[in-house]
Amino acid sequence: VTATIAATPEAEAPVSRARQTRRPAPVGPVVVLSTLGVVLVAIGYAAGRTGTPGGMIWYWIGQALVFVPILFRVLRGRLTETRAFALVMALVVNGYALKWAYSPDQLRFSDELQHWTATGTLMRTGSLFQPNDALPAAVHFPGLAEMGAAVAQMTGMSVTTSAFVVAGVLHAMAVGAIFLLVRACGGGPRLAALSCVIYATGLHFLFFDSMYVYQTAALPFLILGFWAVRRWHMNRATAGFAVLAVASIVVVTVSHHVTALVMLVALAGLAIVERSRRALIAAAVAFVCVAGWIGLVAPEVLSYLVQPFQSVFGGGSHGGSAGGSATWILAIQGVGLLGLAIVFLVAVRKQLRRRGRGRVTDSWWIAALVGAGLFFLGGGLRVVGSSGPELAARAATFTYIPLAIVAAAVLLGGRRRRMAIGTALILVLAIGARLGGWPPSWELLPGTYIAGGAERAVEPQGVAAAQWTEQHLGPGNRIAADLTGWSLTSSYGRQNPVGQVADLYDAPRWTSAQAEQADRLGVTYLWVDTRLATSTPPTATLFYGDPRSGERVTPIPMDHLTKFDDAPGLSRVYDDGAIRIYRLGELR
Amino acid sequence: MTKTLVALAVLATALVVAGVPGAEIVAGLALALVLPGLALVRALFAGRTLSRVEQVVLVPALSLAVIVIGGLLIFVTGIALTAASWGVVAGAVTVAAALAPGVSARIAARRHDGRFKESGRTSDSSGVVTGSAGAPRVSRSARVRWVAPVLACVLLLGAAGWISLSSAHRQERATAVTELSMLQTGKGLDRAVSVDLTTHNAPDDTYRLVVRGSANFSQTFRPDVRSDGEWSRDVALPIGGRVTADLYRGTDSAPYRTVFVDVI
Repeated sequence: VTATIAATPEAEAPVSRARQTRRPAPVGPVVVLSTLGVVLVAIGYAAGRTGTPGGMIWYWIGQALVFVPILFRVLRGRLTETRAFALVMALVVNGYALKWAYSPDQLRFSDELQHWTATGTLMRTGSLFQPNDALPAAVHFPGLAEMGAAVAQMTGMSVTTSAFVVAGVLHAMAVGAIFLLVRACGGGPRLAALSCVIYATGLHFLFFDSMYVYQTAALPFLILGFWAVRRWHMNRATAGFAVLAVASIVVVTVSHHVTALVMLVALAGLAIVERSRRALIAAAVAFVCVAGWIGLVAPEVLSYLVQPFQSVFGGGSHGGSAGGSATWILAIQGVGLLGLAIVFLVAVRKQLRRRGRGRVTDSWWIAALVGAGLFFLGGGLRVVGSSGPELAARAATFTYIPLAIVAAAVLLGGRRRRMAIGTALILVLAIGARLGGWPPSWELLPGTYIAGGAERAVEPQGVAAAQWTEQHLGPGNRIAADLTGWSLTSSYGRQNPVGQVADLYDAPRWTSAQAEQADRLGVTYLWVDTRLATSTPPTATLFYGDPRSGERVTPIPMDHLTKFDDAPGLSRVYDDGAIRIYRLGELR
Repeated sequence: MTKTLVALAVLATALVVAGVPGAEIVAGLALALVLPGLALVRALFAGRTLSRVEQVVLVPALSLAVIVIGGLLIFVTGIALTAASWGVVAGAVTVAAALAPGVSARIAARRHDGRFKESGRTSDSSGVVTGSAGAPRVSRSARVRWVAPVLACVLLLGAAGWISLSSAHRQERATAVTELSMLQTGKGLDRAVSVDLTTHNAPDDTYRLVVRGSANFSQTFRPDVRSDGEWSRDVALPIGGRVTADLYRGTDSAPYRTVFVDVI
């Protein structure tokens, strides 16, 4: 195989002889400047926590400092592989530091708490596949929990600290693997670095792709698997790459269901495009592993995976919602996506011309174009059903990788004008990602409690109440709660929270209908956070399976939340001034 | 290198199994993220030049792969997943891989067509130009050019971490939590309730707790939570019905916290 990405229509533009002979500019000052941005963002976060004005200014200056110097240095000119990789790693480490600095003392995002619980359970029982009411689908995908538990147990550090370490290493590995993949496909250091920088403008890059969630564990091994297949294909003498490919496939399979299925489909697609024996073997191994694992160990995950699609095509509601973004944020994101679409079309047009002239192109470049095309196809899900935006964003985690590579190749293949436009496009994408990614725009800074919020709804009162449930009620009780209570009781409280309970809270009076519904759902305890009556939830959603999802534009009236005091058969067993816990019925 | 790897693996495993405070952090991190991967990279790719960047990515990746796959194997054998079992598996893989780097080299030598076997600098198929005969010498000035920015970055990240952690802790300490709870602990003739008061970060207030029940039952307590923030009392009840516990703070006349239980 001689054709590579470097030999595609979007090869890096030649650097002038004068610049070639010149020594590459150092990257150290750039990296230091970028890291200074982390300090500024940390100051912004601290201001947010204390309510000091000006936090957002520090935040945006810091964010710009973290990203822009590295982007400009990558675009500026010659880079050795080591320097290019150093720049990429600086961006990743600084980006992860931003994520950690947002909540440095504890995990707050609900998905992270679910995996934190699973890790704690593994450590407590010393066994895999233990029930996890917080996220039953993760029970048979223990890869992340194994990593977290191993680090925690071997080092003696807390689960939280270990989770931060493991997630950070995995995140860096994922981006490093993209760098390796581009290099293995013949891309130069600059192309590899720019691909990673563009990937860093993804909506989920700073948070979902670096959180302590099982996708974070699987993603680097997915990319490494492809890298190993590529290297195995090209270095026929080295069995090590085959071993690495198989190990990566196994780790992905036992770590995350969606990533495993993506890996299977992508490897099968690659085998079809490349028509090589080794790609076919990799796809076959992936099929055996994934089909065997899901069929024999985790068959229940199929129904879990079908749920979002049912809600897309059936119009139902699935889980919580991050809420819609403001129009102006959507406009910024739209401009970025439009720019990416144009870049993609340029790549496709050049590829078609090249094909018309009878030139051979690396099949991996074709695969990258197909993957990039899937990004836009997946983007179409945004407008379909209540789970559409979530599905589109989740799909983008994978499809944004080939798109970033294609976009980098197109931008580096152009002259100054294209580079300038490309720089502007990347900056727009980065701003759109910070505004429309996670945490949502209404809690970009940490701060005081927000009723119905995400990370900012997790605060000491809620945590203390959830811990009380485990200490005094024991684990596994069926407890009805709002979204925050659901997350806290299932993790800190190790309870078995119940969804579809909005009616219990919305009803103005506790009648036999509510009592029957609670009985039907097996509810033993009610978690009532009276602060829900004090402000409108920013997501306009308060419960899992909320029938009024996205429509809650006023708080729940206080008398709807205090009605439980007068309800026959309900005992208020806990009160911390904001959160009240009621027991339904008599002592069992 | 082989001897060093074996020695480090044995030492790290011993420290992890013994649970030596402080040292186990370094040893545990080495076993989880570095040593197995380092040994496996040498074993799997002996005789084959990997670029420095490839090695940097592969070392933690292979180490974590050992943890995941090793954990599954430990589970299958029925052994509990503990610090000792993780440590022994990671250490054993490191030692085994460190002692067997020649296997892959022999396979490679048999099958390799020699295209990539050059002494000195090697251009591999990815176009990566790497050195196979040891790392190139790094001059002192080059070292300074790398070390100084790294040190500056570590300091800056440390500052950012300190700002974040201290402000987060300050915010948590500023949130006072006072929890009152009551659960029935006995039925019938042994009917009783357990009343618990817990405070976190609350000022040293004085409290008064009044427990009232049917038939004019009433008991008053003066909970003292100043020492450890916790107070608990079992209250025997002569008769069933609703029991209410009102917590008053200082000289307040309105209850600060209220819980009630229908006792049978």
